[in-house]
Amino acid sequence: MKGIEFNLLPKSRSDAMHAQAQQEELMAKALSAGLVCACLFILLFVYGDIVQKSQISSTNKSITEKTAKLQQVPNINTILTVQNQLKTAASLNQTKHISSRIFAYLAKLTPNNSNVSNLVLDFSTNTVKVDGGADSANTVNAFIDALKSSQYSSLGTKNAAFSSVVESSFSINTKGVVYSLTATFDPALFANNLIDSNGKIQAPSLSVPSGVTGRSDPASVFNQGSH
Amino acid sequence: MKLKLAATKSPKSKVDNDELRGWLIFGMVVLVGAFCLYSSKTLLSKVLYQQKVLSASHKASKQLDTNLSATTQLATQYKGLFENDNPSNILGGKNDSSAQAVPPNIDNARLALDALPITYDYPALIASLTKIMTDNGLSAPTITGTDQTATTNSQPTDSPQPVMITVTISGNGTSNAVSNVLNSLEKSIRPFDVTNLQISGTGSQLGLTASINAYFQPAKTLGITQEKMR
Repeated sequence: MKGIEFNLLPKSRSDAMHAQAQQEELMAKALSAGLVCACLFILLFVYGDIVQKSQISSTNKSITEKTAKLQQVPNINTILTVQNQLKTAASLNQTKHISSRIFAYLAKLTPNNSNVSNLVLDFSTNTVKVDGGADSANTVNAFIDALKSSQYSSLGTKNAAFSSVVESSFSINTKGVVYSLTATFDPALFANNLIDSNGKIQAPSLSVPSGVTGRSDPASVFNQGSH
Repeated sequence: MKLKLAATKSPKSKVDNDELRGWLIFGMVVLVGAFCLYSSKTLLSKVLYQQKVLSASHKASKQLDTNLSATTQLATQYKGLFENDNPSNILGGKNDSSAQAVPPNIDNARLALDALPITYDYPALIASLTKIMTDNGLSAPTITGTDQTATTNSQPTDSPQPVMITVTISGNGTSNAVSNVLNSLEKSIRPFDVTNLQISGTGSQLGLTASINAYFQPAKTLGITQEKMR
């Protein structure tokens, strides 16, 4: 049998007790929150101002010692300079142009009955301009064909050596014809950075289709009397 | 009869006092909590910053360890290759480290510094190019360029970069002479890059004009820099 409860407290007293209970609960919560904040503060203070500062100081000391040790290596600046110069010189040697190959190329490309009187190689635009003379227009055409159809092989690949071959001027005189040709060349033809599997620099090999007669002596290309 | 002047506290007054004290304590707790919270925020950003500094310091320390080990190895290799007592240098000349020694009889370190000089030294460049032209039979050698010694910085730095010097050479000679000059430029231990080449003429007399880029690179110094953490 359920007992019957009687609340004999006056309403004002009951309200006061309820308010006190609420106040105590609020106080407890505030204290807990305050405690958590205080703990967090203490933890961060100890870690930031004691632990980390000591670690930073120790690391800085170690860095200073190692730096001093590094600076005390005898001739360190000379060693670093020589190392750096060698590294840069090697890189500069690889990017330079091997312009002397033009003699071998011209010997293969220039037909027997023609000569070259002026040659301009511009490596900034990869263009070549050839002025010269020949016995006939057919010889000049053969030269143009040779430029257009020549290929170079390098590191197992074959590519067209020249493109945009243009006969920029042509005239006939008593000795024959005077011509001027311009063409764009593949930069690999004069590159110094084609390295094979053995680490050796490879020079491209130029091949001209049969039917175009080249020369054995590169010097004869510039001989006026060769046609 | 004795009069009791002090007012006796009524139960209601006692409750009010307790409540007041409670609120005072609550206020103080809130105040202290707020202070701790605000300070924690400041401390947290300090801790995070210091952690960043620590992490960077550890990285720098590790890098220094690597550098120290590499430097020791480099110094040993340098001694073996450049300060050896081998009678000949890497080019086959005499290994002579005296100041009076002239190429090719110089030590390997000087060879490396001849390949890429550490100073601008325009006159030396002109002398080298003239020698290449005359030794290969080119007559009337001419070198055109501007000496920029006054405006070029050759001071050692911790990250030197190659500096280009542009000159134009010209001269006359046979086809062989022209070819040999170009070959010599290519085989020179100092890198010479021909950027524009003109060969004109006929028969045994050809004219050569070539624009050349030569380089120097200032000396390198051990660079230890300080980085400001943000």
